[in-house]
Amino acid sequence: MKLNTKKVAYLGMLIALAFVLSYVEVLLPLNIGIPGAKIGLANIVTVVALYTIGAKNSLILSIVRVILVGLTFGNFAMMLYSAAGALLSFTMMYFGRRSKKLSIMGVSVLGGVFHNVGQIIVAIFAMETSQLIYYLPVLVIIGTISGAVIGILSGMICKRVKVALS
Amino acid sequence: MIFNRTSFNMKAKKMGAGVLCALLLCGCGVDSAKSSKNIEMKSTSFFAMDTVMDIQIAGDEELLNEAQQMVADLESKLSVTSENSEIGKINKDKIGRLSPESATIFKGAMEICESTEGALDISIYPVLKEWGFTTGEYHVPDEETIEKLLSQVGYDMVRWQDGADDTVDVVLLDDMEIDLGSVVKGYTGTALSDFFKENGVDSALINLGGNVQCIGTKQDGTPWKIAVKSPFPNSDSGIIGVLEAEDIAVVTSGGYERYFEEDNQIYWHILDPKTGSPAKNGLVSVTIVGKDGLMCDGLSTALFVKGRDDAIDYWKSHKGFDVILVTEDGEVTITEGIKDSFSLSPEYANSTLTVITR
Amino acid sequence: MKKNDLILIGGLLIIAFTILVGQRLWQKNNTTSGAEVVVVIDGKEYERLPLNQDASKEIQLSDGQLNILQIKDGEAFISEANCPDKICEKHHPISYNGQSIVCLPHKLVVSIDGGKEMEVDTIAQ
Repeated sequence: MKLNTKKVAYLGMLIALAFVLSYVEVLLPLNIGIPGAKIGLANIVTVVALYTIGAKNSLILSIVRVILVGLTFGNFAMMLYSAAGALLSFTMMYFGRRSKKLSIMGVSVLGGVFHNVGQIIVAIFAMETSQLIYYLPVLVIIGTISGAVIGILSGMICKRVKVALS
Repeated sequence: MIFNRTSFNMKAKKMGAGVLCALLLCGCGVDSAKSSKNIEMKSTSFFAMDTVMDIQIAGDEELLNEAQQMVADLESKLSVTSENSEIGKINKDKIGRLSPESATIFKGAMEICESTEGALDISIYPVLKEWGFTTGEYHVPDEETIEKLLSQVGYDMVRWQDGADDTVDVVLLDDMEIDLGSVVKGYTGTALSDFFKENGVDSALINLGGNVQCIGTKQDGTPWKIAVKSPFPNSDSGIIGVLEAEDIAVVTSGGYERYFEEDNQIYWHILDPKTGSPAKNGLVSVTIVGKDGLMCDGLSTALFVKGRDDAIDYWKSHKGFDVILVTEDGEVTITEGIKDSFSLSPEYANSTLTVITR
Repeated sequence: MKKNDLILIGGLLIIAFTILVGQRLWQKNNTTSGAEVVVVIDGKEYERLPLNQDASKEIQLSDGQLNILQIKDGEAFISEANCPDKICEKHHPISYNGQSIVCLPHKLVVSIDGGKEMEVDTIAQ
């Protein structure tokens, strides 16, 4: 896929939006003592990107976002967590979409759930405490709920963006 | 994008907590706030003065460290087993000076020796040593040895006079040794209690190897429940009764604390200074309840030696304390001051309980 | 939204909640019967054993000190010791919070943690 100016500008805008949403999330930490628990606001952007500018571009978007946010707000460990979350989440969403069995809603739920799952897996290895696995159910519930909400939002955004891009 | 991140984070965390509670209706993973007690109880436990000390206070942890230091200081001054303590030096040189705090304890102990007519005797130590109660190498000494040792036992043979600046000078006979161990823990309990109170602690429980001293009540305003150990080895609950206490010292002495068996005979560590042998006058446990821990500690030993009837007589002619006496046949006698606050444990509910009035 | 979305969401939530409830129940059952016998030697925690499992444990220190801790029928006691005074052997079995067996010569304290509450705060002895 060749990028035209419109799409470049659009990608840049999405990155900026993801960055801002990540910052909002830093301000609203889900402080329940569970490493990896996140509302995953920035996931909105990834979902929208996946449905509008294709898998490759949205993967680039995810990576750039993780690096930018990590450098700005976090430390290396945090970057590692969110990279794991973002990559696993992206992979699941990619396959979820390609299977054509799920709508944007289901894809977003997959993204939300596996974002949290990815983070906890890294945390288990980083902290060498398998006990963290006990948090998994809670993380899945949080991921499902936030994924569903984000799915609805993303669906609405996508409709409008597609109109704008076409 | 330069924000004051810390303050943002603070606010955000509070908001986050709210959002989170709403999100996690099930409350999973969220530690609900601890029940709204006034002050958290802090506690410590350590070995000192040859015993285990448990202290819990409604107050700062730093106070516990200072308390432990106080105990260590007192021990280093008064330990009879250390040659470098003030007592150790006096026992070695037969002459020496006690610093003000040690002098206070010494005089307090001497007062009890006098008022109990030698039922408590700080100079019984050489006999105690001979029996092996200080080392654990127990044996029954022959009568001749006891006789010889007893000739040098007698608190009234300890020469002492007030020195400068509240010190006391002590002179002993050649073979005499003194030990303040029978009152030190009681004194320490009250000293710690005073120290905590001066620092604003209004609820505390101090247990120095079974010598209990409490400050105020529990945080919920109910009195401390202090169990008195059953002196009988076959007891299931291990408790003969419970005393509800506020701001007071509770000290128990009993033969069960330290004893050995030889030829089916039980020999315990509370010696009658008159005979030099274990005091067997019908009592198996004596508990003294009073404001002054030193007095309670000393009297618990002295009244054990005196036996039930003499103990009751002593209580009738002296003020400032109450008594719980347990005889070897399981009868419990208490004095009127604690008749409403003491109750027998369920295991001993059928024992005879006599209340003595003045 | 497709039917599959609902199946996915519903499935995830049901599984997660089931596991969660299971965890809670398991935890609850384990904390009520989770009384432990705590062995402390010279101020340092040496060992923790569940009070609800019968056991016999030799507590041997490098300098030849030996205490044998027995747990039987929800009570803990010292069955044998090579200390000079043997007071710890004669101590009656303990099972309540706050009770303890002390072996002074070995600076050993056996106490109960997380067990039934005793009705008293401390013991004068």
